[in-house]
Amino acid sequence: MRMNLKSIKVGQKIEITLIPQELKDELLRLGISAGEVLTCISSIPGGPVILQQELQELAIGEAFSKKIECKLVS
Amino acid sequence: MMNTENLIKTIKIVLVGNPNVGKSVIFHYLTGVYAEVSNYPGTTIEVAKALLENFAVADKAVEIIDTPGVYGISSFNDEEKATRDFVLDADYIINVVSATTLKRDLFLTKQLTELGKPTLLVINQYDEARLNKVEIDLKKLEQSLGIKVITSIAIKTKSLDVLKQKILDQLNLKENTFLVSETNVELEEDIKEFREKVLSRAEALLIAEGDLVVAERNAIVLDDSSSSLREKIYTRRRKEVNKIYSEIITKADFSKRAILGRLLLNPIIGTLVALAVLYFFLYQFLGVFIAGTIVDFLENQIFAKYYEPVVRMIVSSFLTINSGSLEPLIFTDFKAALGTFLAGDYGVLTLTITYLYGLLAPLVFGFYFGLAILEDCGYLPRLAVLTDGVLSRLGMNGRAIIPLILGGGCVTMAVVTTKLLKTKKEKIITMALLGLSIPCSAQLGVIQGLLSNIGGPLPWLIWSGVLFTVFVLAGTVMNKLIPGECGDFVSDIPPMRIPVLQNILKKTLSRSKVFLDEATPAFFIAAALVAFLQVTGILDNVINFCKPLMSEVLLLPKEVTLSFILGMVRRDFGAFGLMDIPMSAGQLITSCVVLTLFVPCIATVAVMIKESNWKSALIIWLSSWILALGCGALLARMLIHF
Repeated sequence: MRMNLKSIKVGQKIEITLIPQELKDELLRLGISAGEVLTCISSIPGGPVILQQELQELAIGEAFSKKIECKLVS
Repeated sequence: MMNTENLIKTIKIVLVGNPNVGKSVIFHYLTGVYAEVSNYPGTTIEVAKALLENFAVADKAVEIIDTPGVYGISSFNDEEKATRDFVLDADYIINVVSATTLKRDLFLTKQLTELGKPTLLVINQYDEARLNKVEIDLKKLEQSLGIKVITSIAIKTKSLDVLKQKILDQLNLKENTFLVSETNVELEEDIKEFREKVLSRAEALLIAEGDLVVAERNAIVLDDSSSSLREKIYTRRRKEVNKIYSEIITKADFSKRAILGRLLLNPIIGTLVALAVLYFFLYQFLGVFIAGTIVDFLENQIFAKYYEPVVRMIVSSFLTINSGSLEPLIFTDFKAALGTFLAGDYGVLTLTITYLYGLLAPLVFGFYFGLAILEDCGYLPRLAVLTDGVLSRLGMNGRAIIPLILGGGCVTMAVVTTKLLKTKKEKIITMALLGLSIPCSAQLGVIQGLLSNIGGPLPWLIWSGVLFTVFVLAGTVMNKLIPGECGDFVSDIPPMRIPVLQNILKKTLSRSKVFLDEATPAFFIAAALVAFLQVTGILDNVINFCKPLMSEVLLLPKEVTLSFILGMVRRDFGAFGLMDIPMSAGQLITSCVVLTLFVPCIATVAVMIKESNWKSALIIWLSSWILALGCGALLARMLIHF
């Protein structure tokens, strides 16, 4: 099922499937690209979604997170 | 002593790394110079430079340069531009990475090695990785990157001795510890076109990655294909890094969760904690403890009892002091005029010194001390995440929380940090809100002192309620009116750490010093100006001139004018006079609100012009007049029986 990052719930594990062009370079540097698996550790209503991979934690603002597509992993 | 004439060359060693990996601590160890350390991204805006301590190689000086934290070298923002130029100019590069976020950090490392500069990799925060049982195959990493790798725990300086030794070995030509890595064939193919046109290999790579600034310097025009070439290089680099990373991590257990850091990101718990922090930091610590207890003791016990009487005694032994008088003394009695100028109610030697050291210094120190704790424990990035949703509806985003909070220390300094913000719209709105509705620490202190004199939390609630309303309304209106994007928020969240007291004190002292160094001359000028206006009688005229405005519009005593005039010169100066004017509770609250909303001080306006343009600064300045008087008039009528 295709969904965007903002719609995932806390505790869900997702795989990034599509990052829009304008965000690709910035996120690549931070270690995030299509195919990466991350866990949602928090989501602020009307605000950012917070993702975790190993020891790294990353917040992505609401508007951006709606543009990033992902799918659930297990 | 080193003879500078014999210097052949200054060797430049540049510290480069992602934000928050401990570069500044390493810089401090190597040079003995304190560079500002902060636990949120983008704080080292100014580049720190210093000579390597106690060290010189025959005829050479060695300069260590600490650069702003970046995730890559390019021209994405101001920090990157600054870092990029130092990297291009470097003789040697020390790349600092965090053991906890190697996967992210190695992207920059790989880029640095591809630039073809001699580089040494320092894996810092090694202890934090060990806590999570992360084991790193250092030999394998050295092989994959083609450079030497050492580990450190920067807050324990002992572990940095290895780094110092490596630098010495390199500079004394004992051993090559800074290596240039071999490049791969595919990359060479990608940058071939530019290598033929540009002398430096490093610049050729940056141009291939679409760095417009470097391209322009070399008179190269990049076409549309440049962004796809960058994506190609970036994607390959990321793949290579991910492969290296998967090979070098031999063991790891990420099951251990940082519970506190997580809880603070929970919308409900996080908000409650934020409110509690606000209450304890602003109200209990700054308002009640510092502004109340400490300032009261210094001002009324030390300065009023010991300092001022002594000064007055000395001055009055050869001049006359005419306390409280607003007569134009200068024309009648020059001796009295000069005496009043020096040691009268607003005297340069009395008021200025008492105010600076009895009131301002403890408040500013208290503010920066509290802020340093919040910063060093890693709370601020979490606050940015929590507030992003609200701020994005006011035309800003979570990043703006840093300047907004810094504004509580000194609005002028906060306006400087708006350069961290990416779009023009965010910058203008943040600047305007800083100028309009954020009180600086001294103002905050005095205002809370005044409000607590009335008693109970209600005055405080009214005051902060009005400011909050103005903040939200002004933000909403500007968001609608100002064209452009407010940008979006992507932020790395550093782990929570227990702050080191020594670092907090150093940071507090260095910031307070910067503030006081800047404020002291301005205060003397302001005090001299007011004292001059007083002895020439101009002050009296201005106060009478403004009387209708004060009594009819704001329903306040005419003496309050003085506070507002002072507030224009220096924001924090303004609240001073209010203490001594008898007013009703309603009048006190009104004047506190008007004073906070009133025009930003001269220094702030100057910085605003520098960071944006004179037009925006003028609009902000004028609208604060209208807002302050409008809100004041309204509030005065609402509180008339209070």
